[in-house]
Amino acid sequence: MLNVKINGKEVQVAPGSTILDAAKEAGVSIPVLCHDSRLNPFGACRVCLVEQVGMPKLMAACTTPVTDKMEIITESEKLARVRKTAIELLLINHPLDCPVCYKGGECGLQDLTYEVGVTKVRFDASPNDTPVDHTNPFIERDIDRCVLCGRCVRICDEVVNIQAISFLNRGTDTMIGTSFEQPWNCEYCGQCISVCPVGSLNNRVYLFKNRPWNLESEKTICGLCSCGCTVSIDYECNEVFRMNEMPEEGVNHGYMCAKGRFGFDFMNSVKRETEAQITVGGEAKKATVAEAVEYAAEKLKGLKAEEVAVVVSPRITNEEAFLASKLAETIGTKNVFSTETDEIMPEGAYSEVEASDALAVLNINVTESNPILGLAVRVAAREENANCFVFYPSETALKRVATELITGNPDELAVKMEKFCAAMGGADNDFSAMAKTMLEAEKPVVVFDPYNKADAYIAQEIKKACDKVILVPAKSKNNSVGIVDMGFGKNNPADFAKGVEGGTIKAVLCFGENILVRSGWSKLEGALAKLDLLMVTDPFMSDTAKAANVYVPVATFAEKSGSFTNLEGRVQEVSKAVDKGVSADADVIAALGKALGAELPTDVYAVRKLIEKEVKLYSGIQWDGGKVAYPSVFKTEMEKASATAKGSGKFYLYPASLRLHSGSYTRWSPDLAKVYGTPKLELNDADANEMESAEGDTVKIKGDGFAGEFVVEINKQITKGCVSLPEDFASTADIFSLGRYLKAEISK
Amino acid sequence: MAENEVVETEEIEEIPDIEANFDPTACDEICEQYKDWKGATIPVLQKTQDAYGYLFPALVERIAENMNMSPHTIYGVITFYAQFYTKPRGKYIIRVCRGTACHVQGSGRISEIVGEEFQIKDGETCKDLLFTLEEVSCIGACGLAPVIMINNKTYGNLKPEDARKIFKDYATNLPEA
Ligand code: SF4
Ligand code: SF4
Ligand code: SF4
Ligand code: FES
Ligand code: FES
Repeated sequence: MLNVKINGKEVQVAPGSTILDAAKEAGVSIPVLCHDSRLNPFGACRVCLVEQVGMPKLMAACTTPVTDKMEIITESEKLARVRKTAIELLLINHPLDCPVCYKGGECGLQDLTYEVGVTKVRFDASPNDTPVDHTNPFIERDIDRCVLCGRCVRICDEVVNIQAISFLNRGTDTMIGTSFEQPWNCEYCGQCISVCPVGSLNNRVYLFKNRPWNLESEKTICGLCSCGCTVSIDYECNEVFRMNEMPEEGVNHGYMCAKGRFGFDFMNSVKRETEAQITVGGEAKKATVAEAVEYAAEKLKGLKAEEVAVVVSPRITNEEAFLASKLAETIGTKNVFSTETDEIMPEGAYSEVEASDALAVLNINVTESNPILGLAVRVAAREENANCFVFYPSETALKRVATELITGNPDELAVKMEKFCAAMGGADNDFSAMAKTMLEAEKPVVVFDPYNKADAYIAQEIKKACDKVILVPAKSKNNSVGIVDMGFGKNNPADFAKGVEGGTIKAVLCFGENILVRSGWSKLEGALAKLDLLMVTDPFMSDTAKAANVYVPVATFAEKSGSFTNLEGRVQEVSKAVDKGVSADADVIAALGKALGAELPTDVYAVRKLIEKEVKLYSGIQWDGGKVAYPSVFKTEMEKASATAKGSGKFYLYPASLRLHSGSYTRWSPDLAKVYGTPKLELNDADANEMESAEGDTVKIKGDGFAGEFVVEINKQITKGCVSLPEDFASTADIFSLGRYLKAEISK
Repeated sequence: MAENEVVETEEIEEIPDIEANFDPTACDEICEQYKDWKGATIPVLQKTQDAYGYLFPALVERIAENMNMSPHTIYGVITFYAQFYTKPRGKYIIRVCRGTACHVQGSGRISEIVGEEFQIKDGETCKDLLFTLEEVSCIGACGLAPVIMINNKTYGNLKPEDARKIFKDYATNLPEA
């Protein structure tokens, strides 16, 4: 440890610490502008200059490492003068349009100017007047406000590993921009917005909608995927204005993705329903929630217990899912379903992924499907000594950091993965070197898609061959894990389809699930129509809600409290931020329970007491971040599943990760829908040329048992001879219900 | 020869052939050579620029793909260094010294003459891709002020009309560059 004095206060810090670190230790604050503790030291702005006793030269606190016995002064007349000048220089070209600036009120430059006390700029001010760039659909770029701190460029490089923007030119012409000033395309994760200290990079979804001082904030967990990001919901009068990062907080370290940052707007959608509805003989009538519940309860009373099924969505909270299981108990039915199963449960934590020295990413486009897990993979893969092997039919965004990308059409890829798996078990083949790296690593990690049986089998075999491998099954929805813990993973989702189709299930109570857009269930439309009762809760009039005879509009995750369990198996608390005047699922379930003669609590804490008592894995769980300890990842021995593509045709078709969307929810977000509204067929450029079709053309796809028409998106990264479509759209769910890998013909 | 016959100024706004019919072979070879190097960006850019003359978008895309880098990062490097060009350059690069000594000796007039002859300003290339004008700071031959260089040849003690003669000479005789 090194002994350092900051303004006379003695502190001890580890070698390698900077003066800024030491000052923090001493409780002394030094103004900074270009510094971000998550990024490598940069030292561009000179705002953090400090003095060392006995040294004439000032130094940047954020980049200078401390030495033993160093004595630092952070406040002096000289420093005040120098800081003031540094700010004045920044203000020369700055537009100072604070009254209409996006960042007004929460701007690093405004705050510094105030702190340092600059009231007048001694230099001739000459603000530029460059047109604002709107080529990025989510990010407005006003380069005149840029202070060239480089935080955006650095976070896009060091954290996101996309390098979608760069410093251009030099000297006084330096600016932030893209190659040949082409339109700004990227992952749209918005990390760059979150670090920009000024109003240079602005969130277009929030822009000009409100001012920060009007907003109240509620810390909660994003409900749009299984990553479990800690976010802040910023609202005024029950209107959500933004879902914002909480810098450095949460398992996501304050990072987010496009869905969370730009896709929250569905909460405010005018298309949300406010009234319940009962449909009799094809005629829909508005009703109160109480009437709807009563109607459903009456119907249920006329049915046998085993004729009733309860379906929950992986979106609802643990507490709600638990109540739903109590409701099933009250009814006396064992027919509890969800799209999830308990066959595969979490193991690894993000911290373990980040610290891994050898990773295999098996057939999942993880930066799209689970963005924060994707960032964790990137953290590890970027390390000099780490290896990252990525198996996927096409190239993915991990290309920048991967040691090796293993691509090929689905059949080829399946063979390669099997070989890799065999090599892990000792076989000698072309994957032996890769397997050796994994086997010899200290902390090997395998990320896989738990919904793909063939891959899950391979993951299990790898685990058998090498017990130290930490598995990370990338579950998909915000509470995919939790609803299983609450009892909704025991049954096979296929049995639900069978029951409904075969007529053994006559009533379905569906909490939040949009059955008709799920692979495997999407063809149930006709069968659902024949049910005696289909009760659906959903914030929106979803496809399934339309088919229901009882519909109740319910709250989104911003409007209720409870908890979600993320893909690590970590339980995290969700807090209510706004009220949209609709019930939460918990209220509906409790009301229905009551009508059937059971007293179910709705108070979150009361429900948690019950969960702790009845759900073994949750006894003594910490609700604000505790990790559930699953006895094992796999419930049983996985069966080897065939991954061979079905049918015939020239092209392979496989499901792509959802582009910018999260199930069917975010399609109600106008800004996401603008960029990605309808499913697109991704096609390699060479194939497109051969077919003489261009981006935006409509093509026909036809295979055994399916046909459709889709708009083409040309993607050079797609392997030649392959095409992909996103899942979870009504039109594509039907197709993928037939199988994960299909052969197809494509024509103009 | 009449003055205005020297440079044929057909209106060619179209994409130069090297871009329109981009053949990536040379680029791929260069990138392959440097594949496993750390910090290979600059030598790769130098070599590709030598091979293609300048660094145009499709070429930069290709380099980026070959080197598994972002084209934006590469463009950042290109625009940082004065040695890289993103626009076609002339066969003959006329560097007019604008350092103090040359300035005093009237090098400004020489730049003007380049403009009169070839209709180009500092940093520009004439449409037939023969001449590029670059105004540079002192090239260390102040004794010979005013000084210009055409490619690697230095011409000193230039009177404006001598300079004009030299330019015309290049334009007519097109010596090997
Ligand atoms: S949105 Fe994300 S990927 Fe795009 S430039 Fe910003 S940090 Fe990079
Ligand atoms: S755009 Fe913002 S984050 Fe990027 S360099 Fe400029 S001021 Fe810094
Ligand atoms: S959708 Fe997932 S990754 Fe994106 S902000 Fe929400 S929890 Fe985070
Ligand atoms: S914060 Fe230290 S130089 Fe910018
Ligand atoms: S000023 Fe022209 S050579 Fe020195």
